[in-house]
Amino acid sequence: MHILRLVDVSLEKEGRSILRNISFSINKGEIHAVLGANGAGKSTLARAIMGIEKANGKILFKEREISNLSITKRAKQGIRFMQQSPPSFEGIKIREYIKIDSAKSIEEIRKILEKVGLPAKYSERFLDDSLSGGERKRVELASLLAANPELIILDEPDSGIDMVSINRIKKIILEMNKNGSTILLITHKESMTSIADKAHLMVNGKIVASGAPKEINKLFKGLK
Amino acid sequence: MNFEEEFKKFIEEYEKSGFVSEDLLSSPRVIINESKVLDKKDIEGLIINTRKRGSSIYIDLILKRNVKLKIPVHMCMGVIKKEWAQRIIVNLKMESNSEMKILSHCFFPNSKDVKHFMKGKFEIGKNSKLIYEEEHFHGKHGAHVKADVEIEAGDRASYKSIFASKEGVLGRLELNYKIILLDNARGDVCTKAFGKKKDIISIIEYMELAGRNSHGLLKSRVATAENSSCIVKSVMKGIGDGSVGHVDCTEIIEGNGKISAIPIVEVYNKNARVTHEASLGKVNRKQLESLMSKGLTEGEATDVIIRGMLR
Repeated sequence: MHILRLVDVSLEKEGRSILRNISFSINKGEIHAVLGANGAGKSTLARAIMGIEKANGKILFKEREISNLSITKRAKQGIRFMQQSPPSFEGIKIREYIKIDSAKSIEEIRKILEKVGLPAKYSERFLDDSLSGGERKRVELASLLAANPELIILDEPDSGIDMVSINRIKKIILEMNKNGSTILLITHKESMTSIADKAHLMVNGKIVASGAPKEINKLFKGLK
Repeated sequence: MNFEEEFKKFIEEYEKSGFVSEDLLSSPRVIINESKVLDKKDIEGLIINTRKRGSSIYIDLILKRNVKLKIPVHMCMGVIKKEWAQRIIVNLKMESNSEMKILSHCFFPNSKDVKHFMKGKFEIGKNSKLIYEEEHFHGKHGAHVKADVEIEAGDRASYKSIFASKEGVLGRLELNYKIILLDNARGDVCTKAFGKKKDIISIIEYMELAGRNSHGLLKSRVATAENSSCIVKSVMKGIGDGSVGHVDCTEIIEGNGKISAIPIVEVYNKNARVTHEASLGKVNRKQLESLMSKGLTEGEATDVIIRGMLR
């Protein structure tokens, strides 16, 4: 069953085409990677699927059209989105943030935080500017692990992260997948596609090739 | 109402306003209802004197040298009646090498026309530390609160204050703080307020980094909703050699609220540095998107962001 299907998704901003007739589908339980250079339109695609950007064409979630649904309604249906640079929040504790869309107990949250490489005591820390960009991303990954949604869109979870941590992030994504989440992974690093079942190469707002991650990586290298 | 009945009623209203009476009654304290001192308890090293002159209540607090209080001192000022003009004058002197935390709880739960005017003068002695946390509850209709406080932090002294309001309507709130930091002193003033209905909020903060290596922060977090308005004027003057100051304003507007922020930063010494940052306007879009991506509606997400900011 297709959990996500895009049909001719296009988006223009100030007369410029950002997304051009994008069509692909993801089966339930798969990990797909969208690979492309900076400015290819990958993040816009992710934001359009979540409903943050208004796009033309059809977006179907579990074969039901969601193109006109708000961000909130898409989230309520089981879609989650991790921003490339998640924002910080003054006065909101990490455990409170995680509990917004998860029924996990405080003990479970502490264990999840350790799993993503943060100390358990961070559950009581505020999600404010005192966290580094990398820590903030880990909190977001912990939140997604706790929520266990049907579809997760990850916008460059690897950007600004060291190699050791990238391996941990890959493990976390695989665990999310094992727990039942389908994953759409946006990245500009070929190494990230190794965990994907299928990859798509994006150039100038278009998906120019789709296939096995190794093949897509080769094509991407050829473009550099 | 006799004294016992009044005291009982006062404590009931205090709890209904969201405060904890057990904490209040187990601490050194001054309890004032309207223009009457209901209770006063000092502790070794802390002298609390109160007196009434005209319609004003004077509170004098002296913390003796080398005394470091482990439990907070409560200053509880309330008005149970619907109408009253309460005038409080606080003189606080902390001798050298002393430490204290004051919890100032002001509540006017039945206010239709309650006025609370407070004047304060705080002297924080050499190497001493004061934490002053003030929390207000103004009921459904709001009150008129005006506070004028002058603080002087001596050599290596530290002053930290937080003003916050609980749920409810503020009414008219005017806060005027003047803080002078002497050599190596630290000042950290944070004011949080949420304007609703037709609330009028005015926050004027003045911090002078007078001494060598003095460090100061003026931070305001205000949200205005419905037809409320707020003006925040933050003045930071860098005078002392090596002094460092920062003004940080984040103000969110909802509905027909209005906000003006006027940061004034002045430097009178080539070795001083003062910075400011201000963010005024609607709720941060990225924060909203992040919370809506977790299934909250825009309204729910806005509420979470504002409550967090004012926490």
